[in-house]
Amino acid sequence: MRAALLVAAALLLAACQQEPVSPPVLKIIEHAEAPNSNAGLSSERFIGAGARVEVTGYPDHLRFHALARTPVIEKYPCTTCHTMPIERMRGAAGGPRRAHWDVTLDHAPPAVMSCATCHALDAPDRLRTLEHRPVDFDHAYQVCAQCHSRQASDWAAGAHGKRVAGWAPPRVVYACAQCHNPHHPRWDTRWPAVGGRPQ
Amino acid sequence: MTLKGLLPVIQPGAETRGGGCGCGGGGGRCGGHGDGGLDRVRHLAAETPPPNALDPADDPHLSGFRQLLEREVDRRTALGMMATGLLAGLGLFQTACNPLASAESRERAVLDWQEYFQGNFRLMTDTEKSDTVHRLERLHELRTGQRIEVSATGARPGVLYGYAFNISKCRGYMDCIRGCVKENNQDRRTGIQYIRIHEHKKGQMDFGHAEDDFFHEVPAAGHFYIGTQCFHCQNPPCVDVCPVKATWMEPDGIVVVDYNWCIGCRYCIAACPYDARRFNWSEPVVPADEVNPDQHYLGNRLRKRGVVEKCTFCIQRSREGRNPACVEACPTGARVFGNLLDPDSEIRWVLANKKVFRLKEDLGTEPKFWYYMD
Repeated sequence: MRAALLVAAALLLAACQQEPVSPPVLKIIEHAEAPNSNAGLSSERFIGAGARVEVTGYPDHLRFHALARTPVIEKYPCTTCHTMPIERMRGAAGGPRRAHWDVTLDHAPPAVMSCATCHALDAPDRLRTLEHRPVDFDHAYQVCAQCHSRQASDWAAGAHGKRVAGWAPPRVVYACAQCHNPHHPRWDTRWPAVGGRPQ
Repeated sequence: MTLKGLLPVIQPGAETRGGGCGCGGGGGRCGGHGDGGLDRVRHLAAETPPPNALDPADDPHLSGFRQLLEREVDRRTALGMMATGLLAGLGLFQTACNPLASAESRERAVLDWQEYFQGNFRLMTDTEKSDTVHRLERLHELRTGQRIEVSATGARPGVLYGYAFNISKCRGYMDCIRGCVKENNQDRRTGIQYIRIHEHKKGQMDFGHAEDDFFHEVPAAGHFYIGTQCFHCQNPPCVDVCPVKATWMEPDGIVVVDYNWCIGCRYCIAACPYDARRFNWSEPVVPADEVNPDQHYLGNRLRKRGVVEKCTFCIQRSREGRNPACVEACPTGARVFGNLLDPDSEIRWVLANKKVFRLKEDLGTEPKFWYYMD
């Protein structure tokens, strides 16, 4: 009897000393109050001075910015060179190309896509939608989203693409063409950044 | 004999009366000088306390120090105590009082001494925490001449960190690992890495058959990639087993280690079901020009030999609102990090709109690290 009492006491002591078990994370999340100020933290100072544009066309609670594209396009504005209609600038058919030697369209079959699917040939400083609405280069995601709608909605919400610098507001993300080459959107294989047996 | 008798103290009384033999006999009772070693031994052996003398320990007229000093002890104990005192004192004396030593080496000795007796970080007051990190900064500067900044920033209210990993996007480039090692000052010699990228053959997800030390062009045909690191479990088994409470979960959900309190028993490594913890088997080596000077006490500050370390969601960055280094380094955007308590955060959108899973969920560890697919 005494031994049993001792064992019970020991078990009780052991139980008392155990770390408390936390409720499931999803339960904790459910009880979180909205809105959350994220402790007033800001990632602004980490984002850098790069120009950004407000992304439009998505619900209000998804208000966010994307890095601007035009400041980093080397030969922008296009009209610096494209001063006359494209037919007159083009070299002889079958002859060597006069510019854009590094551009090969490897995005979709030729039956689906040509330069003019995205580029407004009559107004080279802008892109265009399939419905011939002009789109600024900084808002190129509107052109991409026409076909890649699932990627676009994931991108707008944060499941696709990448955020600049911080998790805390303001939300600034990389735009489509900052990770994907629009003329060759598939990623290449490459060697890993580290090698060897890790500890 | 008394302790005082063995100390090289000049006794004014003995000086005047018997020529200052220093043997403690005093007065005329010594009488053995110049008679050779044997006589001296005999003399010491024959020495008895004067009759009717009060035990110094009980003498109310003596100060505490004198009571201790004049206490009767046997020779063996006295020698032992002296040797201990001498050894302990000599080290301090040499470094701290040596007029030839530079002020810097003296300061360093004092700081080392203070660090040695530092308490558990969790029990420290804010002042003590601040003293502790300043000591670390100063010690590093004294050792290397390099300035670092160690922060002790606490958890922010209303923040619980969570992580999501897109296994459709990871391509095994391992830029995350490189970013992590650079950011967190891991030992370059034994190659400690917090993140593992597991290469799985398509059609299965058995970690026992996955490769985590591949080195070939990636992604390899017919394979997919899953990254693991510390999942910052809400019920962390590693914390339960620590015998000295050197590891714990912070209020913002980050599981941390106090490297100064860790005794290196590695119970936590055995308890972690996710292979998230690493041990410093040797003195960590980080080349001086590669040391990241932006540090946190519970994060990427330089470790010592014999302590356990792990991913801290880059506590030095995340508590400032910044993304962890792996998230920033990933070129494919496979990594999403954020505040689980913010309903408008990206991580919350992933949890609510994607099909997610966690590893070994049946263990009840409640990892705050989810996997999802496009």
